[in-house]
Formats: sequence, C-alpha cells, structure tokens
Amino acid sequence: MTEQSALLGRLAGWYARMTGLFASDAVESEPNSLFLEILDWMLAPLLLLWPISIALTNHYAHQIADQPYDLSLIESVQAVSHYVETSPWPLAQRLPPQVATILTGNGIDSRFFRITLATRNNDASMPALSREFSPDALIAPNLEPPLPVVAAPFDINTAQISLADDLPVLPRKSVSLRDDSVAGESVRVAFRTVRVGAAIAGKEPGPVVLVQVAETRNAREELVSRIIRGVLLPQFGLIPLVALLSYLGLTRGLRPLRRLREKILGRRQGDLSPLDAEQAPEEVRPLLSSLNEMMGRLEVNLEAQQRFIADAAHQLRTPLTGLKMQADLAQGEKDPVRLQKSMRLIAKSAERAAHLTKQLLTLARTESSHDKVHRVEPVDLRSLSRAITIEWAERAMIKGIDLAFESGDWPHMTEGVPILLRELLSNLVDNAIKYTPANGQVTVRLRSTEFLLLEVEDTGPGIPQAERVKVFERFYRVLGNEETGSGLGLPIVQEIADRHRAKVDLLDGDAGGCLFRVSFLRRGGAVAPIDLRPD
Amino acid sequence: MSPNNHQNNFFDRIARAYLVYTGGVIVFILAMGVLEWLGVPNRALGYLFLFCTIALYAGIGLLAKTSDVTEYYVAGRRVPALFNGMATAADWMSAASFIGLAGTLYHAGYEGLAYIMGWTGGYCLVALFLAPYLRRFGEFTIPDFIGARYGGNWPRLLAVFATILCSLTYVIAQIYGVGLITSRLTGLEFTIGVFVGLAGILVCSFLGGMKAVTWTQVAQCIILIIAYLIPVVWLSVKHTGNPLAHISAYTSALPKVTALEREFNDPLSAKGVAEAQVRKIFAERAVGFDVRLTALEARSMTYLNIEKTNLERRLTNLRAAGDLNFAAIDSAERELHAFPEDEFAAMQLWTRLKAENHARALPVKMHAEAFSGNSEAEREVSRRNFLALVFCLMLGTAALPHILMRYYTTTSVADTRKSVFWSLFFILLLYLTAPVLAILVKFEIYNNLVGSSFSQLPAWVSNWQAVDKTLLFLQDINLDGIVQRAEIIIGGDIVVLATPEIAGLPYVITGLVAAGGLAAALSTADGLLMTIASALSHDVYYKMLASDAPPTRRLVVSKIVLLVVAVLAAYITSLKPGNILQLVGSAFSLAAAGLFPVLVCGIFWKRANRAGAVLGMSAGLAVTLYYMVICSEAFGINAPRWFEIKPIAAGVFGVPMGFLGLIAGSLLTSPPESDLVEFVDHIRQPPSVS
Repeated sequence: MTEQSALLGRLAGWYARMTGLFASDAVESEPNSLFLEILDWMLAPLLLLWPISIALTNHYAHQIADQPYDLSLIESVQAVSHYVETSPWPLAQRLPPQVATILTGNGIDSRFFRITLATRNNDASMPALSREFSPDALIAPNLEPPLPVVAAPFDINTAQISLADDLPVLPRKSVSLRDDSVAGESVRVAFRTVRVGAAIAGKEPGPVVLVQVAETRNAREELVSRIIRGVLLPQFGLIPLVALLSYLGLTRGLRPLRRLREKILGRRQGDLSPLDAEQAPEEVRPLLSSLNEMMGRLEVNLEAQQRFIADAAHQLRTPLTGLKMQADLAQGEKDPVRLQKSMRLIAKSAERAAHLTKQLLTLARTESSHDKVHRVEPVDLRSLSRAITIEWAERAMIKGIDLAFESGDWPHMTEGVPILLRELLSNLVDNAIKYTPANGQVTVRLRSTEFLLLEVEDTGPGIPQAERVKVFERFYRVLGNEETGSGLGLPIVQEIADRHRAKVDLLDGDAGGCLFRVSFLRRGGAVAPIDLRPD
Repeated sequence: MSPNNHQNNFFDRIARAYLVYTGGVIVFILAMGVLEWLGVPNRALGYLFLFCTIALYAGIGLLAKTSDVTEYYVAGRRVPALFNGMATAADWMSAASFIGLAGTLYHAGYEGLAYIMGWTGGYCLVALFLAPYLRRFGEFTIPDFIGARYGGNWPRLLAVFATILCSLTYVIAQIYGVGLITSRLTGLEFTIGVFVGLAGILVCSFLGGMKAVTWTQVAQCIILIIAYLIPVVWLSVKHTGNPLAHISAYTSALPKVTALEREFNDPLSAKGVAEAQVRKIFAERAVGFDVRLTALEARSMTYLNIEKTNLERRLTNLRAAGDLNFAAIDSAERELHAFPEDEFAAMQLWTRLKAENHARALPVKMHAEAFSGNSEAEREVSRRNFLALVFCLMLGTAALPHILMRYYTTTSVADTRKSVFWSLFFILLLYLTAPVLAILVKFEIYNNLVGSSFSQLPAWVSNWQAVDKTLLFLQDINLDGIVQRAEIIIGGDIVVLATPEIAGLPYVITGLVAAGGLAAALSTADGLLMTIASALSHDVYYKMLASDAPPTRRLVVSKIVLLVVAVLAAYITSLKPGNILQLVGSAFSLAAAGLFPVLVCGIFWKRANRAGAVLGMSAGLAVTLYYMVICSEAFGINAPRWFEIKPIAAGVFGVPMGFLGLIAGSLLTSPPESDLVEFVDHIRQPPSVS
C-alpha cells in the first residue's frame, strides 16, 4: 500500500515536472479552474478507451461476420468431398458441372478451389506437387499411413491456393478453416481431406486428397463494416453528449462551492466567527476547518495586538507625562541649580522614552521578521558574544561590575540572524548589569553540549520563583525595583529565541543571582536546520 | 528577472527538450530496425509505429493541457519564433503535402510544380502583408480581425462562414489521410482506421487547445522531416551512389526516365509495341462505352434492359456449358452485379469508364516537359492554367485561417516575421525534396515494375491492392503476363507511402514514412479543428451570442464544439466522399476569394468599410462557388469553361470579384467610423521599443 502510494507520488511528481516544461516561468502552473480540470480528466480517458473499444468491436464483428459465410463455404467443401468419395480413382481433370457450379463466384465474391494429393508440400523427400510430377519419386517415408503410389499427376484447380502447414493426411469428416491469400487478394479457405472412392462399395479406394475452396472477403468485409458502423456511429454521437452531460453534471455538483463562496462574500467586515463546516460537502470540510482555525488564530493575534497597543500607549505616557511635568516646572524656575536638576530629569525621562520606543521597534521588527528582511546564515556565537561583551565592558566598569566572558577556543556555529542574536545577548547583558549592584559580577558564558548554551549569570538579587514566568510577559516588571526598565527586554529575548527555535531558561545563579540560559541548535547537527518562520 | 530573461530560459529549456526528443526518435527508429532484423513480423512493427507515435502526441497533449483562455486559443502568445515556425510548418504540411505532393508531381510532372511555387509564394505574402499586422492586432482568430476591422456582426459572420468552408473540406482530407495510413499500417479497415486516428487527433486539441497543438506540432515537424528525407537519400544512394539526392535525381535519374518514356511512346521499340497494344485495348474499350452511351441516349431504358438481358443470357450460357469457364463466369457475374440500375446511373458509370479508359489509352506524359499538349493552342491553355493555379494557391495560402492563426502565438511582432522565415525553411526542406522523390519513384517503377512478370508481383502490390483498388491496381490487359506501364494504376496518394516498399527498403522505413505521413495529417487536422472550433466558440458564441460568458464556459463550449466538428468530419470521411476530396484543392480558391481581399484591404486601405467587406466577401465566394459547381465534373453540370480555366483555379475569377465588390461597396457608402481608422493606424504602427 505504501509502496503503491509512493509510486503514485513519484508519478505525480514526474508529471508535474514535465508539465512545467511547457509552462511559462511567469505564469502559475496550478490549474486555474477546478471545473475544467475535472472535465478534462473525465473525458481524456474516454478518448483513450475509445480506440480500444473500436479494436474490440472490430475483432468481434469479424467473428460474427465470418459465421454465415463460413457455413456456406463448408457446405461447398462437403459437396465436393461427396463427389470425390463417390468417384473412382483416378479422378477426371474437370469437375462435373453440377459440382462446379457451386464453386463459381456470385458477383460480389470470387470463389476458387483446388483438389490435390494430401501430402506435405514442404517435405524435403518429395518434390512439390506440380504438373511435371513424376510418380516414381512419390515414396513418403514419414507419413502414416504410407500414401499409396499415385498413378497419374493430379491437381484440379482454378487457383494456386497454398497448402495448409498442418495438413491432415488422414481422411477427415470435419472441415477446417483458415485465412490466406490468392493472387494478392485475401481469402477465406475451407478445406478437408478425403479418400477418393471411399464410398464406393467393393472397390479398392484411391489415395487421400485435399479439397480446398476459397472465397474472397468482399461480402464479409461489407458485413463487418455494417456491424461496426452500427456500433460506432451511436458512440460517435455519444461522445459530445457525454461532454455536454458532464458539463451540466459538474455545474450541478460544484454548486455547494458556489454557495459557500457567496456565503463568505456576504459576511460583515471583520466577522471572524467560524464557518459552519458541518453543512459543507465532505471534500471541502477539511478546507473549512483549517480556514476556521486560521481565523481563530487571527482573532487571538488581533486581540493580543490590541492589548499590546493599549499597554504600549500606557507605558509611553508615563515618561512623557514626567517629561511634560519637568518641562512645566523648568519654565517657571529661576534658580540655575534647580533648573539644572530639572533639565537632568527631563533628559532622563526623554532617555527612558527613547529607550522604550527603541525596544518597541525592536520587538515589532522581530515579530515581523521574515526571510527577506532577515537572512539566515551560519553564525559563530563565540565571536558574536565576545564582541558584545566588549561593547558592554565600559558600562559595567562605570557601575563597578566585573563583566567576564568564558568560552572554549573554538567557534560555536549555529544558524541564525546575526542582528537579532546581538539584540538578544545585548538585552540579557543590559538586564544583568542593570539589576546587579556595584562590585557585583556578571558572566557571559558559552558552553557546548548537545546544544550550544549561551548563559548570562549575575550576582544580583535574583528573581523569585513565582515571577520567573511573568518576567517574559510584556511590560511586566519585578516589584520593589527602582531601575528604569521598559519591561520589554526579556519579551524581546523570548521572541528572538523562538524565531531561532532556541529555548530560554531562567535558573538560579551560583551566587544567588539570575542565570539566563539560551539553548541553540548546533549547526549541522542531527536536528533539522533552523527555520525562521513561525510554525 | 526580466521578461526577456524568462523568455530566454524558456527557449533554452524547450530547445534542450526537443534535442533530447530528436535523439529519442532516432534511437526508436534504430530499435525498430533491430527488431525487424530479429524477425519481428511487419504487422507488429506497424502497430508499434502507430501506437508509439499516437501515444507520444497524446502524451505531449496531456503535459501541455491548460484551462487558461489565452493558452487555449493562442498558446499564451509566448512561442519562440523557431518553434512557432516549426509548428506552422507541421500545421501547413498536411497529408496533401506529405503524401500527395510527390504523387501529384509523379502524375503531372512539370505542371505539378505549380503547387510548390504557389504554396511557397503564399508564405512570402504572409510574411510581407499579413502576419505581422495580425500579430500586432493580437486577438484570437481571423474572423476576430475582420470583425474588429470592419465592425458589426455581418463581416464577422461571413468570415466565420468562409473559415469553416475552407477548413472543413481541408480537415476531411486530413482525416482521410489518417484513415489511409492507419489501415495500411495495421490492416484494419479504412473506416476503423479513421476512428482510431481521430482519438489521437482529439486528445491533443481537446486537452490543451492551441498550446498542446503547438508543442505536438513541433514534435511532429521533426518526425515528418526525418521520415521524408531518409527514404529519398536511401533511394538516391541505391540508384546513383550519391547521397545528395537533390543533385543526382536531376543529373542521373531524370535523363533515364525521359529515355524510358520515349521508348514507351515509340511503337517501334520492344517495350513500345506492348504498350501500344495495351493502349489500343483501352482505346477500344473507350469506344465501346462511347457506343453504349450513344445507344443509351437514343433508346434510354429499353437499351438498358436489352443489355441487361443479354448479359444474363450470356451468364446462363456460360453456366450451362459442359466445361465451366470459371474466370469468364466470375467476370460476367461481377459485371451483372455492377450493372447500372437506371438510366442516370448508367450514364454516370459509363461516362466515367469512358473517361478512364480514354485517359489510359493516351501516350505517356513526358515528366520533364513543360506545358505539354498536341498543339500550340493546347500548350497555351496548359500554360494559362498553370499560372492561374499558381495565383490561386499563392493567395489562398496567404489567406488560410489555420495558418494565419498560428502567427498570433508568437511573443512579438518581430518574432512573427522570423517565425514565417522558419516556417518557410522547414517547408522548403520537404518541398525541394518532393520533385526528387517523384523522379526517383518513377524511375524505380519504370525500370523494375514495368517488364516484370504478373506471376511474380512483389508483395507490396497485393498489400496495397488490399487497402484500396483505386490506389493501386495492376491488371494484365493484353494477357501477355508481363506488366506494361499502361497496365499500372497508381494513385497519387500512395507514391510516398509505398516508396520504401517499391524500392525494396527495410520495412522499418515503411513504418517510418507512414508515421511521418500520420504526423503530417494529424498536425494539420489538429490545427484545422482548432480553427473551426475557435471560429464557432469564440466568434459566434462568445462575440455574438453570449459576451458575458465566463472563461470556463467559453472553454467548455469550445471543447464541445471541437468534439462535434471532429466527429462530424470523421463521419463524412468514413463515407469516402470522392467529390469532397477533389474539392480540397478548391479550399485555396475559396480562401483566396473570400478572405484575401478583405484581409489585405483591411490593413492597407483605410477607406474600406463594412458594406465593402460584406459585398467583397460574398461576391468573391459566390463567383468561386458558382464556377466550381457549374464546371466541376463532380456536380455533373459540366458547363463550358471560361478561358479554359479548370475549376480548381476558380479563384482567378473570384479574387478580382472580391476586390471589385470591396472597392465598389466601400466607395458607394460612407467612409468607416473614426475608431476603425484608428484601428488601422494602430496595427500599422510598429510597436514602440521600450
């Protein structure tokens, strides 16, 4: 069964490739009308079966047409045989008129006959039968019973009908039939062997002779073609009729599809409620349920989007409100020292707003990422992580944090989008530095096991077990924290990791801080290459 | 990637595919040769050739199936020039060209060259005056063009009528060719051969329309050219030792043929005596029928009854004789069986027999002699007919809808011109070879068959006699047991098909030639069926009756029309309508008179208008049809001919009438609307190069 389906699949693939030969590069090669496709595949086999049906009809028409004419041919052979049986040997060189007259043509078909000694003409020990035949040579060693010596050359005929290959040498009551040709015309031959004078009582019977009567095929062909025409002409009329009926039938059969189309077209805008799959035809039901599923996902996505926009607006409002307040204060301020402080606060608020906007953009870009924007390529995680660690070294030093990088000496290759991976690591390091108090330690570590593990460990306060899932939600911040985070850093990390089919784990660090671990697939490993599209 | 790049890729891909295909064809032929050498019976080889080629075409049809309107009607308009040229060549080279042309040249000698000159000349007209403009117009059919150029439904309807008239007679001849070849290859009866071949025709055009037909035609073009050239080269090597058949035939074979013809016509030479004897018998028979006809005219039914009674009495006497004469009884029976029932039938039969016998009593026509005739006046008539025929064939070729339609399928106007060049190139490969083949076959028959013994006729004689006695019939007229030239009837339709057998080449070559003939007939039949179906479904149904029909329904209608037309044509063919076959030559006159003036004036004369087009088309068609009906022997009126022009060249009168009607009709009515004038400007303006 599976072998069969594999074979069918290969055949279908082959067919598709070959059709592609004549298809334009620019034009979609998928059939653009299901209706015509079905009609074609219904009617094309009909056209192929048609010649087969004709051939079969032809075969049987010949069998049928031969029957009545064969009967009359057999009768004439029996009549001649009867004459031979009742005549003494040697036979006269001419047939008597009452026998000969049944061997004449009838205006449509010519008849031929031949009466010869029943002997194999291909026997090497005997010369072929002819008028110059010498009686002395006629000793037949292998024939049973031995044929008697013939006194006179003997061959009565109107035509040189050849002898049959499987010539019976014993007298036979039954008549055999075969197809042959005489003087370039195809004929039907009836023949039997008979012993000369066998029916004359009290006399030594003569040798066995072969009686053959041949008839041209005109009347038979005429009958055959009448039979075939009688069968084929209705078939001819039927084929266009079949096409027409198939057309009407298909129109009727595909009506549920049209109704469905009208139903979908007639929906209100934004109506994402599922379609009723139960009432649709069975063939369309899978399509409808996957459509419903898609619409369901779309709805969830839309809701998430709306919530995100609301959250983002809310988050943006906070720094902006602060900004406006500080700006209002600064306007009325005369004291340069306080003005200076206000300006610092304004700058800080602006920085927060800018950071938030940048994070939002990153998130949006990550979400919308597809192959064309972000090309997947082999990436060496080691050099990438080292570069980023160096970038952050200054920030860490200012805050008095020891930022370390640990890794083996070999490249750690995975596949991914470099920009996104940098973003991921930057966010993790940023977080670690932000939440680690001065004199703390942050370690970026790269290890390779079954996966490539990218770890960022800090000596900060850590995150309570209960909140470890929530920190990956957008705009969530751990309470009791005065640091100005956007609440988007970890969701971005999660999003990018998802895109790379990587897993993010939040664990306990050795010194009680956080340990973020991102597990990447190794490049060229046993696992499938990474796919950036969401599955 | 730019569209140009796409097109180049497409060309490369297709070219590679067809190179592989050509190699496959050659391997197939070699394999068949090996099978023959291994002793596979001829009948089996015949079936293999037939079914492999038809399956191949059906396969391409399946691969190129389409349900897109533009692909269905005009192959998506992206066929590269070379391949469109090949497809057009296959479309053009019909059963008439492949099977019939060499036969015509065999019989008519020099005068047969009119066909070659007319047909090739027609392509020059197509390239210069029609194809590029039609491509610039860029719609689907020829009636489409006429309908768009002149506006209104009448010109379109008349064009549809003319298209169907030309194409239907033409397609019947193709199906006849298919039936002939199938029945020879398989031994099936002719009618059945027609039906089997029809399925092969239909699978292509039905599934893929013009797209499938185009790519099948390219495949067929390759097969038919290989199949035509191989036997000729072989024959030439066999006779002259020179593979350059086109040279050796004229330098070596033709002088020998001429010498033999002189000998046949010279009653003093050894062969001439026997020939003269046979001719005398035919002349006597002709006189005998003449006497009968005179008596029939004088005494009508009485004479017929007396004749019949005489015949019956003769038969009775023969049967009553003590010693039966079987041959005499047989022929008397046959004569009685075929004895005409009534006066009209008797008149027709005896007139035909008299003409046949009279024709066979004439001396051999010299192959190389131009405009033969006994007197200067006869030669003058012959010359006049030659020129008239060339004229009709040229203009007719240029206006045949199934050829013009092919030029809608190229990618651009420039490609259209290139494509006409390629068509002509491939057609010439065949057309330059046909006269050579005629000479070589004639030499073979005069040299080997004439003078051989009736008791030792080669097998091909009986094989072909079995297919149809009108195609090949040898009868010992003077009972000397030797074949004389005048005792051979050889139909023009089998000269090419029987060439390999006549020359004693292996059977595989016979199969190959038959496959080539089949390719020629199938390709043309497909093109013609598409033309008729498009005219009916696109012009009549879509443009006139249901202009709001969706593409799906248009295609379904087209496919059903295609089936109906094919079935109808096959039915007519299966009745073996001799008259219609004779009328095929007149398809050219009809196309020339009906379509050529409106097409050319539509492009080059802005003043031509709707009334003129209607008048021109109807006048041209009417005069041509009228002349054909009153002068063709087929209709039995036999009115005196105008200027001794044969009815096949009726277009000589029809074309001027068409132009006259068009000019008169246009000038007597108001000029065409401004949008129609703009239309002419549009098609005449070269496309801007962007």
